[in-house]
This record gives sequence, C-alpha cells and structure tokens, in this order.
Amino acid sequence: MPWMLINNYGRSEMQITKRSSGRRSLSPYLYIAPAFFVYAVFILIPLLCAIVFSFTNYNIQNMKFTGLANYARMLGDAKFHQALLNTLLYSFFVVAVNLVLGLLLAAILGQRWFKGSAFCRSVLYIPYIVSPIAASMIWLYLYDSKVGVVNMVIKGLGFSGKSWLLDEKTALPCLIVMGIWQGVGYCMVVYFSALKNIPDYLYEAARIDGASAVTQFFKISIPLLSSTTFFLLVMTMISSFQVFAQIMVMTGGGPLSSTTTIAHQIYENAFVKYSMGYASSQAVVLFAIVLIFTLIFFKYGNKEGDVELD
Amino acid sequence: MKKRVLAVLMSGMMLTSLLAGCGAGDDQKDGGQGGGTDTQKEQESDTGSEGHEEVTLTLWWPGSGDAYEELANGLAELVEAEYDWIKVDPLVIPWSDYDAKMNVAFSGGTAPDLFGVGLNTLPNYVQTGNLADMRAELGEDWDGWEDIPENIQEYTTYEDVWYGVLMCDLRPFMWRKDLFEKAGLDPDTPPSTKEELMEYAEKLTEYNDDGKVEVAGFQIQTSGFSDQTLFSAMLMCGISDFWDENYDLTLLEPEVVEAAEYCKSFVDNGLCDYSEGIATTSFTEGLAAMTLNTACNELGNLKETIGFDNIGVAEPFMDGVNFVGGTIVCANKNSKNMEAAMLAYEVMASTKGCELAGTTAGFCPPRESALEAYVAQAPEIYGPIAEILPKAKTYGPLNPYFADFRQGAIMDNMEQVYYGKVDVKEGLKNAVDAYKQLREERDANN
Repeated sequence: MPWMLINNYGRSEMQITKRSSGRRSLSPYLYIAPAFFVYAVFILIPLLCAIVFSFTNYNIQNMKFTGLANYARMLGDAKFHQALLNTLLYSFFVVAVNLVLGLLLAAILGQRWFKGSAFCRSVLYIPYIVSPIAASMIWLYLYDSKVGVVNMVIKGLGFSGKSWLLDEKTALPCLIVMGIWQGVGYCMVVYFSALKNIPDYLYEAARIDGASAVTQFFKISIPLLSSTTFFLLVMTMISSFQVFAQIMVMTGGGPLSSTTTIAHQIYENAFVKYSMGYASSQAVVLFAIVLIFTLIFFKYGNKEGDVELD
Repeated sequence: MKKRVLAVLMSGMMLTSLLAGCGAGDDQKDGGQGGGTDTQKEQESDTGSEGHEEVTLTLWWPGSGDAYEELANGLAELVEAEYDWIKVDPLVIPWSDYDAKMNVAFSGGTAPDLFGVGLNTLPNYVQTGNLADMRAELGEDWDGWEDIPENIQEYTTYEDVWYGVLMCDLRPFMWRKDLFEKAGLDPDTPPSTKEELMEYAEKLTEYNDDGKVEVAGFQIQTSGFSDQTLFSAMLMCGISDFWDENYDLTLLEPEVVEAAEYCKSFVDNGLCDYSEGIATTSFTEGLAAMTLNTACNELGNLKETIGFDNIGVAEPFMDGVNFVGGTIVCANKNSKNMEAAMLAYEVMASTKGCELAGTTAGFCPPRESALEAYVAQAPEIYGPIAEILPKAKTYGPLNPYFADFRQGAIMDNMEQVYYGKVDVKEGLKNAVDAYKQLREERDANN
C-alpha cells in the first residue's frame, strides 16, 4: 500500500538521519509541522474535545461535568439502540455486497474478451464520485411512489407499486441498495488494478496443471487479493459506519426510526436537541466501534502481514 | 544546514499563510454577513448623517427562497432610505441551520444586531441572555402598542418581557375549489363542523388503480411536525393549549385524546394513507384537497402553482380560532450599535416594514394599519386571514421545554400512533412520559 511504503521510507530515513548525525534531526519534524498543524486543528483537537464533552452536559450555553451519565443514558436509549442496529445492518450488507460484487465485476471486466472495459469501469465508478446529496436526490426520485422509475418498472411487470421510503420494512433496504450502487465502483476499480498485478505465469502454470478458470480464480486470484480485500474491508466499513447524508436527505431517519443511524443520531442530538454532550458520547461510541472492528480485521484479516498497523 | 534553514522557512511560510487565511476570514466577516457586534464600520459619513458615524448592522432572517431574500433586502433598503448613516447587511439562513448558527454566533460573540426568532424557540433564545427587552427599548409611546392586537403582543411575551414584533404565520382553513367541483361539492361552501369535514374528506379523497390515496381529502401530517395538525384539531375540539402555565402537558385531557383520535380516524378510514407521506407540503403540492396545516406564507407559491381561482380561504373556521406561529423580530441587547439597531428596528417594525413582510414573504402583518395593503393583494384570499388574526392561538404560554416536547415527545409518539403501533391514548401517554423525563434531565443539567 502506498501509505505503508511512505511509512517505511519515513522510518528508514529517520534511522539513517539519527545514525549519521548521532542525534535526532529537527528537519523531518519541521517538514511535517504544517501538515501536523492542520491535522491537529481539524482532527486531533476536535477529537479530544469530543471525548471531554462526552463527560459533560454541554449544550452550547452551559457545560457541567456529569461523569458517565451520558454513557448510562445511552444504555437506556431505545432510539440509540435502533440506530446501532440499523448501522450494523447497513454496514454489513453494503460492505459484503460491495466486496463480492466489486470483485466479480473486476474479474469480468478484466477478461480479454470483454469489449468496452474502460467505458464500463468509468460508468461504474461515477456514482462513487457523485456528491452524496446529489445521489440522494436522484434516488429520491427513483423511489418516488407516484412518478418513480422503480414503481413504473414494477407496475409494468404487473405488480402494485409501493411507497418505498415511507414503509418501515423497505426504507432501510432501499438505502442499502443505494449504498451498494455508490460504493461498488470503488471496490471494482481497486480490485481491477490488484488483479492486473498478479503475474500471468501463475495462471499459465495452473492452466498447464489443468486448473479450470474457476479453480484459478479461487486458488490464485482470491488468495493473492487478500491484502486488497483487507484494505477495502476496512475502508468501506469505516465509510458505511459514517453514513449520514443519504439518511438526512431521503428519510430523515424515519419512518418510525427505521433508518436512523448512529451518525444521524449524533446530528439530531447535537444540532436539533442541542445535547452536545450526549451527542459527543455517541460520537465516542461510534469511534470505539469502528476502532474495534478495525483492530479485529487487522488481527484476523491481515494474515499476510502486508499492512502494518503502526 | 541549508536543508534545515529551508525547512524552517517553508514551515514558517505555510503556517503564516494558514493563519493569514484565518485572519482574512475574520476581516471578511467584519465587513460582511456573520459579523454581529463586531461588524460596525466606524467611518465618518459625509452626507446627511448629522454627526453620526456610519455603522453597519447585521440582520439574520430564517427561511429560504426568493421571497425571504426579497423581504430581508427590502427591510435593509427601508432602513437605509430612512437613515443614510446606517447600512444593513441582511442574511437569509434556512430554518434547518438557523438555530444552530445563532447559538454558535451567541457563544462566539458574533451574533447579529437584529434577527428573526421562531415563535416557539423564543425561551431558548432568552436563556442565552442576548435578547433585548423591546418594550423598554421602544418606550411606552411607540405607536405599535395600539396597532398590534393584544393576543399577538402576548405571544411574544415571556416572563413578563416583550421581545418583539411577530410576523405572523397563520394557518387558515384552505380548500381546493376545483377538487370540490370535481367531487360534486359547492366550491364556495367549506365544511363548518368536524363531522362535515370528515364527510367532505370522504368525497374528496382520490385513489389510484392500486387503491392507494392519490389525493387526500384532508391533510393530516403523520410524520415530522405532527403537532401542527393535532393542534388545529384540538382547537376544533375546544382546547387551546398543549401545556398549562407550569408547562405540564395537557395531552391526556379528554379533548386532546378526542382530537388525536379524530386525526387518526382519517388514516383509519383510508382518507389519508400514512404510507403516502402526507406531509406539510401536500396541499401545496396538490396532494390534498383541504388543509388547516398550510401556512399563509405558502400563498405566494400557491398562486403560481394552483392559482388563486382554485383556492378558497375560509372565514374564521368553526369557533373562529386558528393556529398562529411566525417569526419574531428581535434585537441583540449586546449590540455595539444599540442606538442604530433600535432606529433600524423601528423602521422594520413600522407599518411599511410589516406591509413588506406581507407582500414579499406572505406573513400576515401584525399591525392593523398594514392589513389594508396585505388584503389588497387578493381580498378574497387575504381578507379572511386578516380576520383570523385577532383570535388566532398558539400552543400555549411560551415553553422553555418546547424542543423536548416536539422532538423528544410528540413527533415520535404520534408517528407510532399513525403507523398503528400503539393506540392513541397509549401514544399520548408515552409522549407525556417522555416529556417528563426529558424535562427532568434538562432541569438537572441546568
């Protein structure tokens, strides 16, 4: 991974600098100082503030230390439990389908016999770079109960239409479908380039040994893509846990809280109810969940050791 | 060594440009929109200022769309025409962001000099300690005291302090004349009782081939701000407060239960399918034939989309009581330009300012002297609204726990009721319990 290489290069240079001069050089720190300053101002300090606020009743006007009260409140907050469940469901389906579908599409588009691969890749990748708000507006029209394309197709097939986003049973699946549409192109492009990096001679040797295309895919491609899969797993999991814009635009968390997510609850508590302290505690919990999942994936998913944690 | 010097120089330059960027933002703010109390330009005016220094006031107004821009800019022009040494810098902010921006501005000391406040959120603004006592500022000889109906003055009074003029958002009974004709009803005769309203709704409801509601007979808000429909129904049932003077909810009063059951019966009778999302805008969008939940501010849009020929507005409905909300024009008591702010305020709250609010953004003007111009726009439409004004009601005494009531209690629980998850009584009881709990938490935190 590029960032991993930078990390290693950085370390090597530091070691060389230290060895050659006999003392720690200031230059590398000065080079990274501006970037670190920006990182500290916009990421690190807000993160620390959120942790501090999570132990208070901060509501913009007042702030009192309340210990673990916000965390205790979360345990009894049915809406937060619903949000947690929705977030997990959303993430599970979006991540799983994106990885599987992305790999399949990459494998198909990578075949020599497939004409128009570049065009298809571009088309599939476009949703990923479309603004989530714009994408949400598009899907809002697609799902519209009266003039939506989805209902038109369904009615054309002889079935009756539905108010997809206003039915508690279908609203979340609709958002999941949209999440898949938006993320699959990214997975496909990353898998595509990773597949191209697998040496041809491995497939050639397998063919000589009589391995079928399916066997080659499962015995060569998938194992050699494990670090890519791991990378995509972590990245898509993080972004899916943070899903917000779609929820805000398309359903507002409803109906009956069936589409509210942790990020949406954080927004509601912070900017609608002004319970900044409580919202901060939810943000800390979201951070902890993402961290735990990432660590689990690093422990069990990074068998090759290609990606370093530090 | 050279490398180190270079690194130091580069770091210094980047940090300087970063800080300069922040500084530039501040400068811009000082001269522009978000400046608040730091925004005055203390320059000598060279024409007609009679010794006054030129000052720039900031005005924030909640809303979105051209009409609100026109109102804010128009108010600024009125002030500038009256006082050539006062400049007003208006900014219209969508409702969804407004309270958050105002809170941040108050915390950061950058709040505007003059601003609009949603009627029900006034107590929360008062708690910030930034709102001017407008009775004290304007004085007893201000002409507005005689010109603004008592009920409207009372609604913007909180803990015996009057905080400003309410630009009224009234909810008259409106109906679609063309749909009445289509359903065989007299387009000039609206229903006059609850029972008639239900009968009319039955005749007016249109269904598609799947049997789903295509046009609801009567607009019931089943999601979101469901409190608005419920309150209008409560007024029909003879109860006019969501809470008493101690802010204890009245939701379990028999009349409120009756009103909620009445609203729910539209859904149960298939006249308003909750899954079709009959929301605040459904009448405006042509998806409902009658409404008590469409603000008079929407009439400008309705004129364009449906046409005034197809719309009827009732005289005071049933007992003559309708729901009123609106935007209060407030002043920042910590403004560094208090004298200029008060002069500007007087212009904005004058008959001309109120007329402007009525002819641009569609607010019903609170001043009786401004009603003539308001009604003259279309007498058959705006006339009945002007008649409603003196008796119009709001939710009850201004409630500091309003956010807990709306976002924490009533919205979620009424949605549960409409979706058939709980019955009406249970839903209202759950709302009361949720409100109590949130109120206790808020009291404990404060």
